[in-house]
Amino acid sequence: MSLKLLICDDEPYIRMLLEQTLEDLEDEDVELLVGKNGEEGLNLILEHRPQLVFMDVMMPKMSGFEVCKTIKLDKKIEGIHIVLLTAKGQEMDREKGLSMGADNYITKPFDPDSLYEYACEQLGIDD
Amino acid sequence: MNDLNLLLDTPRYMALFVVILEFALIAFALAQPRNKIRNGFILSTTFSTCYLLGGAMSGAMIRTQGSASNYLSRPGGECLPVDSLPICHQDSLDPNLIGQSCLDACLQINEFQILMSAANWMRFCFVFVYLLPFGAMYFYYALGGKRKDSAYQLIKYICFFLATVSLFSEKIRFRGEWSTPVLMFVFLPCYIYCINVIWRIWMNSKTPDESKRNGLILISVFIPIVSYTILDLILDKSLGLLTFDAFYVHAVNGCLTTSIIAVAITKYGLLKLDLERAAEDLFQNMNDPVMLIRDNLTVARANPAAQNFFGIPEISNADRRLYIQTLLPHFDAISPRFDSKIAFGQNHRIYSCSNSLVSSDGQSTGHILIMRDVTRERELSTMKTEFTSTVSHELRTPLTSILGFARIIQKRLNEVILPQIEVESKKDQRIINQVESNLNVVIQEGQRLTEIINDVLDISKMEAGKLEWKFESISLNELVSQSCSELAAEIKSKGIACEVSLDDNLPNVVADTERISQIMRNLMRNALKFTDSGRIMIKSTLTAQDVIISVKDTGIGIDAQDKEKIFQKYHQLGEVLTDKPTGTGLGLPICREIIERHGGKIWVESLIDVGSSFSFSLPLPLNKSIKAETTKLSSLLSQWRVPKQKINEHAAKSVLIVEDELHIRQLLKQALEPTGVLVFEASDGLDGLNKIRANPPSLVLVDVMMPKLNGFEMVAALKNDPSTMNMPIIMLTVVDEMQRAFGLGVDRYLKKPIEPEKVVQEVHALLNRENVIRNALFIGDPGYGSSDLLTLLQSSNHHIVQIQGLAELSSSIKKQKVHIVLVQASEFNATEVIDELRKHIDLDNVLVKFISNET
Repeated sequence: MSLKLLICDDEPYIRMLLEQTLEDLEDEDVELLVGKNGEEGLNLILEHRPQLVFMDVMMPKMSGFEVCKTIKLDKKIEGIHIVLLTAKGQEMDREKGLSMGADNYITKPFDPDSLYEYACEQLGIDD
Repeated sequence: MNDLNLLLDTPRYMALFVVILEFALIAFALAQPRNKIRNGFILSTTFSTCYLLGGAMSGAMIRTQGSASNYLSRPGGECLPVDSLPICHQDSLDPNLIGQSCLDACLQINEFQILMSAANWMRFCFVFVYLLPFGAMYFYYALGGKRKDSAYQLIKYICFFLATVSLFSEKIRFRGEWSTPVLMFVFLPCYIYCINVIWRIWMNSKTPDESKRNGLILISVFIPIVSYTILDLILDKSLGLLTFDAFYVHAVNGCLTTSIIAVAITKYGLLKLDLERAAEDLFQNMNDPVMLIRDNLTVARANPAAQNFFGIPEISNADRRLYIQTLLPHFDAISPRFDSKIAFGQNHRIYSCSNSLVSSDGQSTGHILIMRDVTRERELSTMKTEFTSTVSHELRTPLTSILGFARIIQKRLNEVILPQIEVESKKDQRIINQVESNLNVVIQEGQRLTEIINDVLDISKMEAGKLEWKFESISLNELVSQSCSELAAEIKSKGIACEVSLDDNLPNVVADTERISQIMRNLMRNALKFTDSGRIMIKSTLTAQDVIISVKDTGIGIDAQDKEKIFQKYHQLGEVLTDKPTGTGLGLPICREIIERHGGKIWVESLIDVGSSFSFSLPLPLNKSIKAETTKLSSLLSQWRVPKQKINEHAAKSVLIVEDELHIRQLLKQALEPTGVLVFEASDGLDGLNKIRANPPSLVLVDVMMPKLNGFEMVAALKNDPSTMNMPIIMLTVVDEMQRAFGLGVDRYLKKPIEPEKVVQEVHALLNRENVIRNALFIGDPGYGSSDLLTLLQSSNHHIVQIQGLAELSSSIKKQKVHIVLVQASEFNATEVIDELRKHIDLDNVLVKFISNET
């Protein structure tokens, strides 16, 4: 089964950053998918079923929370590890995040190296 | 003779007229609202009327019989009227005839004299009777009067004394010529003083009601004065007795007594009036809407602010149709006193405080409702939150790009580009080094910017009270060692040693882990920043009430005058221009804010060039003491063997609300039921326990103040029983009780006044928590723990560890959290066991039972 990773953020530079951070994974046969907003992200998840998703919280059309909740509540979809990216100032608790069903959350600004390592770990790739 | 008769009739009519007037005044006073002023007024008017009546009576008698002093006494006891002297003239009259009329006259004189003295006594008595209480009142008031200067007081006392004396003087009858000047110079000023007081009071009256009242009093003073004066004048003139001293004595006497009464009543009434006026002023001018509500929930009065707010006209006392619920649909008057936020209209929010009014005789007279429109405040608060979250997002997003790309560039540079470059000259090498270090600067400054943003947002949130605190029971040893390991690299790179010498088993405290870690990192970084060589030491001190952690360094130290300044916002040590301090200057103020929120203190001790020691204290939770009492195994089994219904995993979760106030229960029920939980209610602690045992809910919401069994007692009972130990508990409490709540093992506490949305959130958060397996430790022979007990514990999610002796404690426990410890009582000494346990296990919220096998 091919490995897929979804990046979803409305800010173009953040998308670029995430892509560049994770582009080495393409050498490991991981397909990188990119979404520009919540709705696109949701569609991409439903269509491609990536194993790992990095998604921003504040996005137009549909927020990261909503996408997460939708995916997690759908019993037919399993095995998608969702990580929410958030600026720390938002009133997001670990509890709230967990109650939305997110598997993890990372605050911005994040360390690209740690992100890469985390991705490797989740996808089961040795680095 | 006719002229004389006419003249003699006038006093009678005068007196009659005055009496009628006085009765009219009394009737008028009776029509006034019932209060002390009006009662006092009626009393004084009545008495002065009687005084007049007495005078009138004696006057009438004088008219018919003549004044006693008009009779000459003849030897032999006969008396003759003066004006009948011509008739009785010895020369011209028949002695027999004279004797007869004289005899008649004398007889009548005796009767008259009796009557005369009776009238006088009546006058005297009445005056005395009413002077005494009102005089006493006045005297009393004079003692408690507002003006404390002794001259004023002295004058008052003198006036009173003289008034009393004047009353008696009529009977004492000063003899001699000096009596008149004395009376004049002494009594007249008193009289003038009293009139002056009343006049001033009248001039100061502010409302029409007051003017009316004070005018009435003045009239009641003047009428008697005028009438006495005129009456006496006419009487004495008609009887040929117009003397100087008589005039003054009567006039002054009458004036004084009545004046004193009037003054007393007025002053007393005015005192009350002043208070009433002050209250009325407050009511009228307050910015906050205030309403007085009758027992039947209709609005009795509304101040202008309330009229403006609700758009209602002024309410008169007669208006009894406006129900408070038409203005405030959510008004709930069940509790006599409550603070609540009431929604009003679409967007308004009112904070209201209601109190019941009780009259001095214990009767309920309704409620007073004081409100404040907090819509604006709430808007501001929302705006502030939105601002902080927007700002944080807006600032952080570009920063993420900057830092992120800088790091990637650095990586690419080091891994790919630079290895491919062949450096040809020294200049080129210099340039390459420069590029590398520049890149480091970009990254470093980017990190610094991130810190600044974090700090600024932290402190603004803390100040706004918007920071979400997550209090839980934490181990300081763990926290400190974690912080140290985080900063280990930084510390090492500067060549400084870091020593941690904490007491081994510091008791857990109730704190927010993240924030305390933040403090540790901050203090350690500061120590690092200001220390060039030497070491950083972290020590702990344990007092009866708190744990103190100190971070000591061997750095440059802090000046005494700077010690307080460093805790101020944005203040940095050192000259800004020359020393170029790094950091935001917010670190220590944030630490202080955090510590104070925990109920602790933070301070610094320092010596220049020797070092500094920053210390902070965290209060210890109120631990329940471990009771070393023995329980019988059989009773333990029966106590714990509660018929448990295995909760169906897929069934709806249920919540039990234990709260004595009906409307709060209803509120919570209404908030929770739509979210898919079954809600049950209990009205006090005992009821709650019974309901929990009969039908265990998934979660318990419990209030503290309840009859029969209060919240704390109930929670303690639940935590003592393994079948309910696990049950999530949310406590509704006031902040002061937070420590105690956590000490008991409550999962969450919510502060009153309750916000239903928050409750729902917490309830669901706890309900979604996984079922944690609890650890039970048996210490003793394998045989003694009967299989019944084991089964019981295992069935309620307990994992069992069995050891034979205390020596095995360290190896078997491995820093797991133990929830129940069962000890074979016959083999072990309770105190020893507890001490030993403390060394290896965190004894917070642990149930320790010493079991004996006796039946």
